[in-house]
Amino acid sequence: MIAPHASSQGIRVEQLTKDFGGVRAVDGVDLDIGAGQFFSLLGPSGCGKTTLLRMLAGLEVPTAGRIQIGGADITHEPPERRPTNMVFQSYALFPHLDVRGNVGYGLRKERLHRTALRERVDEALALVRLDELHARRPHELSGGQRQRVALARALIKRPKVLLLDEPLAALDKRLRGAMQEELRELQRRVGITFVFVTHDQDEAFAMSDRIAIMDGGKVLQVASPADLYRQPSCRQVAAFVGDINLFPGRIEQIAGPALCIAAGALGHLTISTPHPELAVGAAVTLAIRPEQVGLATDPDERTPQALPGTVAKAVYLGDRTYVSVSVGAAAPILACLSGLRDADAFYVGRPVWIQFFGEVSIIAD
Amino acid sequence: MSRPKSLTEVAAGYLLLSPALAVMLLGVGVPMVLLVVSSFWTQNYVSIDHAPTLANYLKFFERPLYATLLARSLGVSLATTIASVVLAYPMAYLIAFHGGKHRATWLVVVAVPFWTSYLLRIFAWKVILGYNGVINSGLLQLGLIDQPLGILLYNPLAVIITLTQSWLPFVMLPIYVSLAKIEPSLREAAADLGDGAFHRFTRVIWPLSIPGVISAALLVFIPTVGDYVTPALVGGISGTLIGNVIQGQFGRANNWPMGAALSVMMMITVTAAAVIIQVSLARARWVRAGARVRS
Amino acid sequence: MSAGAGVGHRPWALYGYAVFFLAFLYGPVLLLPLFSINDSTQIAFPIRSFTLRWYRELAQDQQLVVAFGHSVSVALVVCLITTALGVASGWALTRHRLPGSRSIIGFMMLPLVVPGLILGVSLLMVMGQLGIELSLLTVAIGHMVLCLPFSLAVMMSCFEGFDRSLEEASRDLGEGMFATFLRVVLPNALPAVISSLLMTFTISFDEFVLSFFLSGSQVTLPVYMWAQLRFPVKLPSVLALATLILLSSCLLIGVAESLRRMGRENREGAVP
Repeated sequence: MIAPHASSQGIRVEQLTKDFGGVRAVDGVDLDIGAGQFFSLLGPSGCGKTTLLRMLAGLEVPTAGRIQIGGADITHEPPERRPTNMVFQSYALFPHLDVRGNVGYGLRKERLHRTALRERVDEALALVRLDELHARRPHELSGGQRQRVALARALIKRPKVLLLDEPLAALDKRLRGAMQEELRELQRRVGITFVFVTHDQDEAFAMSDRIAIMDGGKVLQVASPADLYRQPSCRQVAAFVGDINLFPGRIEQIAGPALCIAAGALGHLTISTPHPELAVGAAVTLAIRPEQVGLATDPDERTPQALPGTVAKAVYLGDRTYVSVSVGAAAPILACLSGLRDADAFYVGRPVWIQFFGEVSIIAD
Repeated sequence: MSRPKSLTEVAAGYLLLSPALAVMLLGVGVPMVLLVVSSFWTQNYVSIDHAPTLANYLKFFERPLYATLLARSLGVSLATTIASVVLAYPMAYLIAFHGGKHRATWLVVVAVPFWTSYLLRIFAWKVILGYNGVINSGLLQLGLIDQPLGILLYNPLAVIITLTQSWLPFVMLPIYVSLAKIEPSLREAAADLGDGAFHRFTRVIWPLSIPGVISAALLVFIPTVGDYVTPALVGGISGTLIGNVIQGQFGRANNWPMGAALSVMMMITVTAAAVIIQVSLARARWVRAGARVRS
Repeated sequence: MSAGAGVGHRPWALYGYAVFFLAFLYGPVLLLPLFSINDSTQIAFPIRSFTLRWYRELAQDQQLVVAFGHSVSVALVVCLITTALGVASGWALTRHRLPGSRSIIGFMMLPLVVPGLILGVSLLMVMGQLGIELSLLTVAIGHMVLCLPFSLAVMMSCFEGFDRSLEEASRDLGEGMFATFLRVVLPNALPAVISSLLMTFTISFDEFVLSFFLSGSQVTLPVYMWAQLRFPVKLPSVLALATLILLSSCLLIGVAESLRRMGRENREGAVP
């Protein structure tokens, strides 16, 4: 049985850079990935996450920078000598070998006796719950089955780090959801560090301990899903992770730790998180999530601070409704109201009152 | 589109197909049948006796000459096949895996010699291997020999060399195609799983290229068995092959039925040999090195 | 291919091999132009002086030019008819679901696995039995049989890989099968058709064995060359002609390639 936590290792990446011709795909990235973590690289297509992963695997040679795994510098090691194994996006199963042949492929160097080899393969297949199909060839398997074979093939080598390159991208939605749970479950059981690449925010949030958001070859922020959501470090991260309302403001007054900000048509807002770097008169960008925006349709229900506005647009999704409200001359505010409502509760032009729950945050640009 | 097969669709299809099919039936089907039938006739000078008889076949088995020549032809073809596949494989590998953007150019560069006249290419080898040829003049000039070597030309080896060089571009193509079809991620996966360059080749690339190698082998083996042009120009006496004898039967010797019988014998042996080649390549133990873990 | 998987470094060994390979491949070929400018009727070393007289004599060699013309006309007829047959039968075999199509395809590919000698003598026998006189026509027929599998293979590969939704869109917009073929399939299959034309032309032009057995009094160029290989006097002119043919083939391919590049740029915008 693969011993949990015993053999995983942490990764440290320093100033890693990769140029392809004139294009800089990865730009001076620093990362610290703890041992045994489920770590995701999240970003849009072309942000450099796959290139970064391939450099960890040894399939690309960095232009500059260092990679350390478990304290050892492996920057220039070829893939066959690294303590990493990869699950490829296309699975890359060998068509001329059956499932057993594929899964057992990487054990050649261990020179196991036939019985021992068979046992190891069976163990790996059981881990991914694929016991029955060992004699089949890749082309006879479904997408989900191939994915498991690719996983088993990588895990059987007991790597310190498992690298996954958008492994669920080719699966349909329901299968993907089930596989996400399984992968998470698997990682907890096996205890190996997982580095997972995806462009799907929901996927990264569902599975990861920590996430690095990437764009344009750089890492924008590394944090847990909760911190990323509630305290995005910059406008790009804020906009990438879920919907967000962004609007301009100016600092009017600083009273101790509290800041009083004038936000145009949205009135005056108070923030109690200290921002020592900001002075009176500074222009800032404010952010608030749609779930933090409450709407009152009845003038009696509203609080005194509520802002009057009109419904510009509403999208009814069954379990929640997105309502876009215009407040004076400012850009419309998006509110997300959960729970069962009438589909026509928020008709265009209906007068509503907005209030914010929780605090607005300040975003760096 | 999955619509039910209609009679008109089938009829129209066969209609479109019929001219080509007719050409092939008349051009290959009928002649082959005639070939086999006429091998049972006999010819004396000008007149042909249509009474079916096994005389020609008996003559084949009586005279050791024919069998010897047939065996020599198979040997020469086999040697040519092995030589050309072995020589072409690394080049196909180079273009498929290191050709990058210039793959098409490489392929054209390799194909260009094929656009020269086949006859003249053979003749060029005569010039190279001949008494006053390139090799001899070169060796003389370098002072490595005093007298030109006479053994280079007019023997089976000269035939093998000439045929190999002639067929190289043709052989390289199917090998290249099967190599190019290998997903790059398969090599990466093999490296990721611990294999260095040598084992990546023996365990992944070679097994997946075998279909291409088989095609290439058959592509050169079958036509070269019947080649008579090359032996006629560079083979001399010791390099005469069965094709020369067959051609002679339709030429000076003027015994068409005998020629037909020899052709039939040649066809049978070639087909048998081709089947053996194909089966043994597909089944060889050393070919399936990668599949050591079996269920 | 990625850098890290062991192939980031240049494969010097393979490049070295490529040099040897190309030398072996081109060596004999390059001798032809070399001796076409050699001032001697003997095709042997040492080289005397250089001259262009064989090229001048080329034009005056009546028989050579006539043989060349015969080859061109046969090749033209063969490539046109064979490609037309290849298109029609390729279409029928890939689009019309015909019973027995697999055996038919196997049958049509037979000339690829039958040695030319056998094809030649068996066709000769048929002609003999039917009392047909040998001529350029019989040569053309032989070439058509030989070239048809090539054309069929090219066209089938093209039609099979063809995006059927284009045909479906055309049918949806009101065109029948034949009109769809003319307006949608053929224009998009043009590269394959041209490929088939070029390939069959080349095969027919250079074909020797079938021509040898099936020629009458009028011969094609390869058959003429065969006879000349015993008469060294005429040989340098033959080499001159072969060199010209080689040069024009290269030129043709070069022009076709740059036209293709230009065409692609026009359609997709300039390649960066």
